[in-house]
Amino acid sequence: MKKMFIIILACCMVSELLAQTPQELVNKIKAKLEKVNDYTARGKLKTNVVFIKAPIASVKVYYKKPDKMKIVNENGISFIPKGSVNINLAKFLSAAGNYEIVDAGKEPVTGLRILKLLPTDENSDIVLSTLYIDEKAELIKKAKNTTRDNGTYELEMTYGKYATYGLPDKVIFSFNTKDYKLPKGVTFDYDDGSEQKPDDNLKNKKGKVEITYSEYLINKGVDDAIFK
Amino acid sequence: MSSIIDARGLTKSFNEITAVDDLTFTVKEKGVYGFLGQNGAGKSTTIRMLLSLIRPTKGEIKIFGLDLSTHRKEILQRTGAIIEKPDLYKYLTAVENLKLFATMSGLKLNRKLLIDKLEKVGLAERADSKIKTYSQGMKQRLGIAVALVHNPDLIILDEPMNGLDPQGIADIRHLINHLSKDEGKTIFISSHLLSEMEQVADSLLIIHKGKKIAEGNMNELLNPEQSRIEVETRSAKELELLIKQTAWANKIISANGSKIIMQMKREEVPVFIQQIAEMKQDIYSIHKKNSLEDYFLSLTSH
Amino acid sequence: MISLLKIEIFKIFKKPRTYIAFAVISLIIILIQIALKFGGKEYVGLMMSGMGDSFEEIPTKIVLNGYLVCFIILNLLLIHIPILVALVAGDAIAGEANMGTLRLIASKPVSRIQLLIVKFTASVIYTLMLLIWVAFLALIVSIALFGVNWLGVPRELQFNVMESDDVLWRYALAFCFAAIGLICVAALAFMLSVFSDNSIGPIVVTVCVIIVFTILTQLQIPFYDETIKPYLFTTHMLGWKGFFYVKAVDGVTQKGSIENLSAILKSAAVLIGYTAVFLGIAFWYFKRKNILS
Repeated sequence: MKKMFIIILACCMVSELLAQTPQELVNKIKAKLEKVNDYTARGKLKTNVVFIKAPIASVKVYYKKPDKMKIVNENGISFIPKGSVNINLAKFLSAAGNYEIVDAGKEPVTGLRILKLLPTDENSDIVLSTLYIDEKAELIKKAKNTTRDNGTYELEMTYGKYATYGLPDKVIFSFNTKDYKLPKGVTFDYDDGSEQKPDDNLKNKKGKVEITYSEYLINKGVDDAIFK
Repeated sequence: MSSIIDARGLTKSFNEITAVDDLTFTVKEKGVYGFLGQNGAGKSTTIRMLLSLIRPTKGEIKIFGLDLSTHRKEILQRTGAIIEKPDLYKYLTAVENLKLFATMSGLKLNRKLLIDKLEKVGLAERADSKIKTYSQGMKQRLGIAVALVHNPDLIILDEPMNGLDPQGIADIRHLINHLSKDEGKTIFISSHLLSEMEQVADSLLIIHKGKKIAEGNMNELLNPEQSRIEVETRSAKELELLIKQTAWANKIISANGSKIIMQMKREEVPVFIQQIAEMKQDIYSIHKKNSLEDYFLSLTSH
Repeated sequence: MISLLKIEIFKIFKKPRTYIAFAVISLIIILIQIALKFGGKEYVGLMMSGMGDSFEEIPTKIVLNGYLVCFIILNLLLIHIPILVALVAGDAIAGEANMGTLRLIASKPVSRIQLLIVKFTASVIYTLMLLIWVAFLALIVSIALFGVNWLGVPRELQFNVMESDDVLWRYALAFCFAAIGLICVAALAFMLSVFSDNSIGPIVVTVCVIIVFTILTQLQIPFYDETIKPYLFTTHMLGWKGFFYVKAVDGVTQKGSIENLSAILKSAAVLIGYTAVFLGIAFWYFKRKNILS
């Protein structure tokens, strides 16, 4: 029994010694992401916002290192949350420049490593970013970003076959929605009895936009003209 | 002769005003039936009731032996009418108007037949002109063509000569005579032009304030026992002096200027004429003064 | 009856005002299309303003497609098309009385009921022809000018989007519904026409009724919302829009869905009911009317 205890203690101490520092973890993730110079991805964009009813849109996502990102709807109307270029973490991690990293421990339920990044650049869009990282896979599973101008939003990533590039199969982007209202004199609505009244549940709700990627074409070259 | 129109106890009230009051009359088949009355007497109201434009408050109307309230369609298929001035569709041509009303009367007439009908009222040359370019006389003639398009047995004319010049009036008179005497139609006509009515009507119905005041054959109504004659002479006063010396003295009505008016029994007239001829005065003309106008005014002046 | 109907349609289409109506509506629609072609960005901005700035701007050329332009046109013509319907239906009997021809046609061997039936039917045919013309200009020409894409329908409290292949059938049903609404307007004007000897009265009264009732329909005053609004026929005339209100699951539009079909059917029934009442009154009165004109 005593021997068992010493072995376990030793393992813990070793694992502590072997645990990555926040900076090391961030650097590893950054290095993975930097393997991608550009990509063109196809995806399906689904909007789940209380005041929007929209079909799932087919989108194309273009990325070019270091900070060019564009989501294009191939057909139809899609609702891309403002500041969505920040969906690209590589852009954030590289463009943010210097930042302070604070180790916030682990998330109890999931065991994800929590790191808080505070950009030192006063002009940075993001003022605080909290990353929830799968340490073993070196992948960011969740990010909560507080921006200067566009409020706070969350990203939730699910990875599959493109995990080695740090590119998710699915991204869920959650954000606070503003109240939606148009003057009745503009819309001349038909009252079919279904419309919610303004004081019911429409204010200050969270909206979600989900992009499910079907394929990435990585490092095949992307024309700069696309981002104009 | 059977009766074409049979009206019994016809009454029409508009709120508190009784426009037609218990009117009973009969129009016999064939001939021209004159319908007289002052303005507001109830003539138009009566005619509109005959054409089912107005529903009577009381009374019944039979036309062609059929009750108007239950056989309206059959009756109107055999009836043609002009009600006041004939208002037609100004934005359509004469042919289009005629075709329209022919169709409403259940007829399908081709262009040739329509032009023939316009020919009869002297409008064939203006068949394709819009009605808004027509004169009042032309509109009246077209109105008659419309009333006659389906060859009706009964023709109801409400003031058909209104607004016409003397030639137009003469044309209507000739047409009425032709329809009545040559084609055997029954014509029921109202008019203010008493002199014209006197020339065309066979029978009369006179109403005053909605009530009938006279009905009958024209000759019988206008030739009562007493006849009034007017003698035109060089000097009415001179002739008057001579007549006063005879048994005819109390028959003098008036003597002014060149005319002296006498009233006597009808059978005395020939004797009187013979006797004044012997007075060796210059007699220029002798006229019967029993005109419709006189008769009408005598009935309606009180 | 068919020959009588042909006469009535002939009379309607011989009148210059009929063609003026078609010309006016064509001009209005073309002007709206031109305005949107050159200033559509501002209109789309207004339309999307309800979202605040939560989302990236959607390119105008995607949002402002033929389907949306048609929707905007129909929205802007809520009052105009009924006015043009009233112009003809309100003239049906009163116009004849004014011209002096009513006494002529009413003394023909055609029953008064038959006369009213053919006159109203002719007014309905004119209404449908006007609507078909509007549909052609507003939808077909807009598609030709602006192309097709997904349709985004702004509502007071939500924004509904549907795919481009989910739109045409909605327009087909919407126009059918609009026909019911316009026939109701025609019936109102027709009924008023029977009471009048001058067509200006019925036309003006019909237009005033539509304007006042539309204002009451759109005012958000709880007293009116609970008392008279559900009974106003103008409330139900907007039912054509219901075909563009979709159902969604987790925010995703269900293709082929209608948010509340039973409400639309109820509105259609109300409009048909009003039409029947208006016509019933017209027939009842005209059968007894003394034609004095």
